[in-house]
Amino acid sequence: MGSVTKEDVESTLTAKLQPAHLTVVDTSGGCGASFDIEIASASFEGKRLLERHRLVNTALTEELKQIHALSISKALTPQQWQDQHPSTE
Amino acid sequence: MYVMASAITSHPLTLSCFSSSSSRWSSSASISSSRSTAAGLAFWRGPQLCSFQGRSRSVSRWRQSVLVLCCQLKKLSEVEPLVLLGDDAISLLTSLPPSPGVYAVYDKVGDLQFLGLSRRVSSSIQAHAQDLPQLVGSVKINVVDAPDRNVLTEAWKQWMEEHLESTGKVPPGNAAGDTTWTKRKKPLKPDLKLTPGPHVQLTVSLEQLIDKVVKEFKVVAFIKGSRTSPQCRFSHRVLTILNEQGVEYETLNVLDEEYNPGLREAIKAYSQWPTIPQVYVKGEFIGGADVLDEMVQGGEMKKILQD
Repeated sequence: MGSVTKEDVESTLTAKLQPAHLTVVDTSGGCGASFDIEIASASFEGKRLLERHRLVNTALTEELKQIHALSISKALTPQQWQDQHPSTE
Repeated sequence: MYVMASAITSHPLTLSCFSSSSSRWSSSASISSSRSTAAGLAFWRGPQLCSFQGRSRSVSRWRQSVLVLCCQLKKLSEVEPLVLLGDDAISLLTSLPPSPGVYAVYDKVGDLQFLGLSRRVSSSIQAHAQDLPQLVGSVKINVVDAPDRNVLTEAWKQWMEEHLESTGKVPPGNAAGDTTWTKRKKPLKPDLKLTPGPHVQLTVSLEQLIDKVVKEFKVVAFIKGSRTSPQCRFSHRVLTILNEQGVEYETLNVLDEEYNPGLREAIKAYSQWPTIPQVYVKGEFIGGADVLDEMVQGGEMKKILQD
């Protein structure tokens, strides 16, 4: 069995969506049941929010079978990420 | 005698999602849920007992003002009124604290009409503004960050006593027998059912039934639990959003195996979306709790609900 870890989610998303920014927070207290994701990726360019969420969901198809709750709090393009975080880089 | 205001709030929050399949973690649960989760909520997920550490953007945003506003109850006369008129009215209404508290509603000439208490001040005042626009000019709010209803009641009493002392009059909306502010304008709609029940053999596929429902009604929400008692925080969140939008909508309980057998999996296949709740507008799948949240914030929601 084995539960999904924060690192699993990160590596899957990094491999599939080449994010410019990615934050995964395990909101389950360590049991891998729920995650909160902030992601910025060039794959989101020109896509509506629903389609962006779909991309993330699709990328995590395997993990989702074991994850209880997934929250995508941000799904931005790299440009949008820059605009929202001017001071970080 | 005055009448205790019964809060027009949304449904009681059920904090667990009894499911081993995925459901979405809303980033803006109400403040009451955040309190429970912060205290380390335990819930069952299959064989594992998990402890949730909740986090919420909207709550943390409000926590700052909560600190300012509600460490103690201010006197009614000392609270700054929020004027809910003019061009800013809509944005003000949508930025009210989603927290427990007491509130006072003044009409357009500044007379106190109603003193209320609520588990979710934002929802209550939005409902008042919608139902009684002619009586809502401005509001005073004191967030009461306490889980105990007695604390809320006590705060409400203090404001009422202060008002009685200074004017000698009970606000018209709190007079005995007056239900202007407290009665629901419309009874809640019952949940829709896909089938007449287990004794009837279906001649069409579930997919066709889903298709028919989402095309027949303008707004349809597939949720876990019923409209009156959603059994998942995300479903609860979706209902709250739809209520706040003031839109008519239908609900279907995907956990109702008697009348909606197999719906829980069928709806995921229908939309190619892995989680529940799911909201459809004019036959089109628009998203779950997170997407809806952002659509409301970005103003898109109003647009697609129009016409």
